Formats: sequence, C-alpha cells, structure tokens
Amino acid sequence: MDDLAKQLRADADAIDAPVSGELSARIDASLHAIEPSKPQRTTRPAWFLWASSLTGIAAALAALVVLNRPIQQTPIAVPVAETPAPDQTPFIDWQLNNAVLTQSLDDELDAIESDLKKAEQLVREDLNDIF
Amino acid sequence: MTDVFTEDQQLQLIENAKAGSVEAFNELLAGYRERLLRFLVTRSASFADAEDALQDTMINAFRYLHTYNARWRFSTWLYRIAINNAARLRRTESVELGDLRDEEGDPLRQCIETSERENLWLVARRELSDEVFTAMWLRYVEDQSVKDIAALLDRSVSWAKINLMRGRNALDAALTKHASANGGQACG
Repeated sequence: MDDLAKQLRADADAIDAPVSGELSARIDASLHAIEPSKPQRTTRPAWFLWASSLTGIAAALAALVVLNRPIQQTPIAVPVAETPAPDQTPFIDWQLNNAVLTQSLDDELDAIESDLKKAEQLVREDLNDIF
Repeated sequence: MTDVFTEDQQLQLIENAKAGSVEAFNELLAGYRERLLRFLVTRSASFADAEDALQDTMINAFRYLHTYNARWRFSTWLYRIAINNAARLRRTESVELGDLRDEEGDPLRQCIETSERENLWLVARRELSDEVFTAMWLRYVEDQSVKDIAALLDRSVSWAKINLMRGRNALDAALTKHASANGGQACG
C-alpha cells in the first residue's frame, strides 16, 4: 500500500459518523415490521405442460411443412417499353351498301359470294402492300 | 476493510436472514452500518439524509436479500443499494452533488475534525466526478477489487482501471499544489 492509499484510508477513518442508538433502534423497528420477499415462482397447472408441448409439436410440424413445400419460381417481371407502338392497323374504308333484293335469292347469294371474293382479294392485296 | 465473516459464516447468516431472522440479518450487517454511514455522509445533502439512506439501505437489503448473488462480495451488493438510495434521496430533494460542497451544511465537513491538512476525501469530492469518487472510495477504503468496482458501477474493468488511475493522479496533483503552496511534500 503506497502513501496515497494509506492517507486515503486514514482520512476515511477520520470521518466521524457514528450510528446513533436512536438510528439503530429505528432501523431495528423497521426490520421487524417487514418480511424478506420471496423469489417469485409461478406454479402452472399440469395441463399447461401438455398444452405447451402440443403447441410446440404443432409449430414444429408447421415449420416442416413450410420448409418442405416445393419452391415455385415466381416469374421474373420483364420490363415493358413504355413507348407506344406505332398504329399498325390499316384504316379500311368499308364501302357498305344496303342489299336490295332485286333478283331471286339464289342469284343474290351468287352475287354476294362474288362480292365477298372480290373484297377478300382486295384485302389480301392491301395486306401484301403493307407487310 | 474486508468482509467481517468467513464465507461460510456469511452464507449461513444470509440463509437465516432470508428465512426472516432479523437477528441473523443484524449480525450480518453489524460491521457494515458505520462503514456505510461514513460513505453515505459523503453522498448526502445532510447528516439526516445520510441516516435516512442508511435506514433505507438496511430495509431494502433485508427485503431483497434473495436477489444477492454469492458470486459477488456481500459488501459490493450492499454498496450498490446504498448508492442507489443516496441518489434517490438527492433526486427527491432535488439536490445536486455540487450543492454538497457548501461549507455550512456539508455533512462531510461536519464529520471531519478541523486540521492543518485538508481531508483527502474533501479534496476528492471537489476534484473528482461522482463515479470516480465512488470508485476511489470502494478501492481505497473498502478494498474492493477492480472487477467488483466495475460491476457495481455498471462499467467495464478498463474504465475502472483508467479512472482509478486518473483519480489518483488528480489527487496527487491537488496535493502537490497544496504542498507547494504550504512549502511541504505531497504523498503518493
């Protein structure tokens, strides 16, 4: 023990702070008026053990199911160009006329078929021009 | 100052006190009362407050004896309660530690006989922070290990070592200054 330590000890001893009889009596009276508290121990009913065990087993099974579930690959989102596509639909000027039945139905049917063939031919030609 | 009983005696008294024996508790703490009061005088705004803090410390120690862990020295555990009680009393009365240095009402000054040399603990209280003062007291008055001091103050062992050294240096410097002013020699 060095000099400083000795002096610190001596100076602490020089602090005169006696415990008075009155204080001792006060402390003793307080101690007799209380009881030491006991550590808190919670007692659980017997079914609690079973319930908690079952809960644990259920949780373990759920975890197994989740872990063994086949992995589904989520489709990867492909970025789509936000620029609008050019309008590739050709404008078709349908020249429609009301059919006026002036001949027999068979003749009219032949005429309509002929018109359809012509129209189809025109459409094909137009498509060939475009593409 | 070491613990008063052997480890076995102390554990037996603790067990009896835990069972509710006030006599065992009083026997266990008989050697600590004055030591604790002396320390509390340095931490309280008045002598009456120090006495109240001691009473609260005894009551709390008795009530919560089951929380004592024999891994630590009994005095370490007691001091922790005492420090908390003194701090709580100061908070209740809104007293700052700086206020304790008032010469008129300072209980520490009242408990020290006037002498040529200023008591080192008065110097320590003036020069050191609250925590370092406590660490110094525990080390040099109570012979607590650095590890126990660190645990008691919720600090690391390194912190305790460094601050004990700083405390010593600060006291040495103060003493040197005092000695040179009076033409004497500092200790340390």
